[in-house]
Amino acid sequence: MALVKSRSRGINLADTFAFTGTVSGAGGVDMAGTYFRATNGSAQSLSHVTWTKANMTTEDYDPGSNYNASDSKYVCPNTGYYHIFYHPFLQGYQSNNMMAKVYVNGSSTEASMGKNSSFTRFETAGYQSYFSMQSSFVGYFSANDYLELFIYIENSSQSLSQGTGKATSYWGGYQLA
Amino acid sequence: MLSTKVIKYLEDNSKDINEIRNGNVVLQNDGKSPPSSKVKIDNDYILSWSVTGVDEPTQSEIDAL
Repeated sequence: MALVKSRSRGINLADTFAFTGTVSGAGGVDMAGTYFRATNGSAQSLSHVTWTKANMTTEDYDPGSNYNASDSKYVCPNTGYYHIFYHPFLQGYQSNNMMAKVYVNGSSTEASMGKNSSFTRFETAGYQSYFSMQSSFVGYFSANDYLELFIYIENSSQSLSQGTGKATSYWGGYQLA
Repeated sequence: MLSTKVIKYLEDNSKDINEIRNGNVVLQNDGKSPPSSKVKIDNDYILSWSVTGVDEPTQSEIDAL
């Protein structure tokens, strides 16, 4: 039997490839089509020690129409990995604990969705009046899973709110793969 | 405000706000009317309650505070 010696060679990305057949299985995710970014357009009053759904009702980008602005809810269009980021601006004169986290399908418990969320907490001991609760993470979601951002602040004697502004209170995300 | 009344209820039962901070009591506002079965004031409601030795207050107990 004749032996053929072959030499291993990696793909040189500078080479030119002339395909004569059909390339299949090379489809990727339309990341831009899954992107959303939304902001809080008007001050949102918050109740003391109450997890409140963040009003992110001003849509900045949503090319795939996956974000429900009136309900501040993102519905994942496909199954896969998503990069999610949030940056709500919490304010209340000399407030205490400020917190934020992403709910998945209405759930916030660590046991059920901890690896697919991010919980941010800022313990201020009553000295902080403004803080941006920023975080980002990668989670794995199924098609039609929905994401919501919830926020929390402590101060029983002052007016509490989420601030406004496109660069001040926002969240967003997109599918990675 | 629901939170003020819940904290008073906790204190009346020898507990305090730390039951909320540590997640044994979760107060929530979804930006819409709460589920009908929940104890609530306006859109704020008690999502969950797990306080050792103290039952979740009823709607009438909260209203009376």
